[in-house]
Amino acid sequence: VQADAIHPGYGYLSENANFADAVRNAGITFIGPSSSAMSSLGDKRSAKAYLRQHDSSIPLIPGVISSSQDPNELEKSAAEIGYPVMLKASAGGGGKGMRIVRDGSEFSDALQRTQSEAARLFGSSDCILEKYIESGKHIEIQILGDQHGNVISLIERECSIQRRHQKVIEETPSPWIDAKKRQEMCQAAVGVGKLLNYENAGTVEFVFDVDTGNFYFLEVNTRLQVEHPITEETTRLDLVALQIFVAGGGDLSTVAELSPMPQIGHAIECRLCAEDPSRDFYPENGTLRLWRPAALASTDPRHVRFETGVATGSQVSIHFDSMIAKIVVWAPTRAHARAKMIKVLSDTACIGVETNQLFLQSCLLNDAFSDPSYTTSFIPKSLSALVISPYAQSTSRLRSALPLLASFVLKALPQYLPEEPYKRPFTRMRSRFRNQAFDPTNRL
Amino acid sequence: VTSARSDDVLCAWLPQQTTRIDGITAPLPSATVSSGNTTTPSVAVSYNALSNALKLDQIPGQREHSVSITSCQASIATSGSAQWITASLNVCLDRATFKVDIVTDQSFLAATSITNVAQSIRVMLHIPQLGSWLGFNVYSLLSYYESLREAIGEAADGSRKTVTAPMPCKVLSVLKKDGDQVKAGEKLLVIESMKMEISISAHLDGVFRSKVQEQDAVEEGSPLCVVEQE
Repeated sequence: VQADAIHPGYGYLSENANFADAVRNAGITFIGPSSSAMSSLGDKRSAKAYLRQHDSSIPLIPGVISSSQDPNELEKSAAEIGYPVMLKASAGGGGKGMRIVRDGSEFSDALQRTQSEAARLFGSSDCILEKYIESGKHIEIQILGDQHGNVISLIERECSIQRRHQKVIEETPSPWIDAKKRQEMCQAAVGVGKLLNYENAGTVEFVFDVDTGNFYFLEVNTRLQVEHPITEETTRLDLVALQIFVAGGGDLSTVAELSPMPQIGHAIECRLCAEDPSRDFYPENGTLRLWRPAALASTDPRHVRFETGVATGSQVSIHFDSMIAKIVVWAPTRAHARAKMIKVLSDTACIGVETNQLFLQSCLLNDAFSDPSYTTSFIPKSLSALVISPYAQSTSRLRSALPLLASFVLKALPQYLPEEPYKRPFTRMRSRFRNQAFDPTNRL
Repeated sequence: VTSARSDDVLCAWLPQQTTRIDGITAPLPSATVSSGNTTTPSVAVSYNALSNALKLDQIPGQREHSVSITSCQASIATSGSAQWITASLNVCLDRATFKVDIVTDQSFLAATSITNVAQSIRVMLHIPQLGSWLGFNVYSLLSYYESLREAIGEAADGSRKTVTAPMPCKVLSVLKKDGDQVKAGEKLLVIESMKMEISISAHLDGVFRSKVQEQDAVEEGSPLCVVEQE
């Protein structure tokens, strides 16, 4: 294809050091960090070990770094750290290959499942063990480095609304941290980047203990992340363009838009997933019979983004992640952004496959979302309330009329269908067609 | 008759007086009637109950609504060999206007397809005020009672508990051997879907018999294993 460069997206290949090497060896620019940064950060154990060794100022979560995978030894360490603990695939990411263990009796089964998932998904069954912080916030800092030693931070994203350890709603700026804390976290993130001569886009994830106000380094994602659009919306920067710029040798200190970096308004992203929240978020599949993004996506396209690969008639299969669309809105304030997102979600027709559309609206309308100190237990804590339609009360009269509407429309529909155009025979023949050229009457 | 999840509703039209169409919705008269020593719901009995209620011109719990279509744009959507209708409408429901997106599961809406024995047409609709879509299976009176008769026939056989796949998936491991005694809550199989491992456990005590092998790809709803009560 004669490509000069490859952008690996944010799938599994984007953090695969072997893939990055193979691309570079083929003489093609890989738009991403060096494979050495990837391998030292992509593996959670070596990332923690590296940071502990080189920069003691970066706070780490209490846990076990020893590489022993012996179940008995790990179980013993788990008891020492104190339950609940978190098991993680060392090479993992994207919320896969993670389990919380609350009790010693569950430990060996959980370890087995996590190791087996890790082996199949990430090619290594290696697992690490960490203290699980119960009232934690997940806050991450976007960083960007170039080949000239510059590493900058593009401020934080708050990603605490999670189910199955996967983010569903993200926002920026975080409603909770103040300017001082923000600066502290950005500094720590840039510190991690500088330490590694980090090049291109990366995300330094922290877990924030709401009770103590302390934050701990979690991991570095050496790729552009799913939720990067909210950073783009509030900084007015195009992250992919900047990625290509630094991959081509560009110097970030020469980019006028970055000094000072703007940070305007508030942005929220929701991940629309084919899943059933009332059945433990089981993935759903089927035919998407109608996909019509909210009207605001066309009337306010600058501040309402739909990023999706689906259309009416798409098949939602089990072979990929259950996410079918990312919906991003921007507004001057958090309250406005929240109201706008609810409007956009409710006006989007996504018919035929069970999704978390209503669940997302429940989350946004929930009182707990107004409290800036919400943590990753937001969903687990109020699950039973969140799976109920937030509109159940206000629409009871409408609901009782729906069966009548359905049967009425069904009867009326045929008259509104476009007439099948009558297909005349020979319409594709050119006019004055003659097929017997040798017949003198057909000669012009 | 329309059915959504568990609530089956009767829809009937009132004599037309204006351009607006009025109709009623009402819960169907209870179908479970104990007759003698059997408590199996009888289709004939529930049909008679409805028939009597209609004769009296008053069905318990009925509600009156009015419906009219202000505008409608319909088209046929295609995916592979499947065809269905999508439409975007403005409707007037009980004197309030709503924007409605509607799809069906088939493109033949002729009266014959709904009177087919035990068949229904599925209508799915989205209204912004609802926040998401809802689906209804629309039956004629005859096809509804025929579908009930079939459903009752299937439910009669109950002592064997077939565990079916909750979603299309791959079987990673079968943890029990055929003939094993299993207890409710015990893990039977591990399946994988959307890159996630999910354990399937027994709902009741019994003897395990597998219907699949490791590495099998399984469709949603197809049997994974049977737990037979002795």
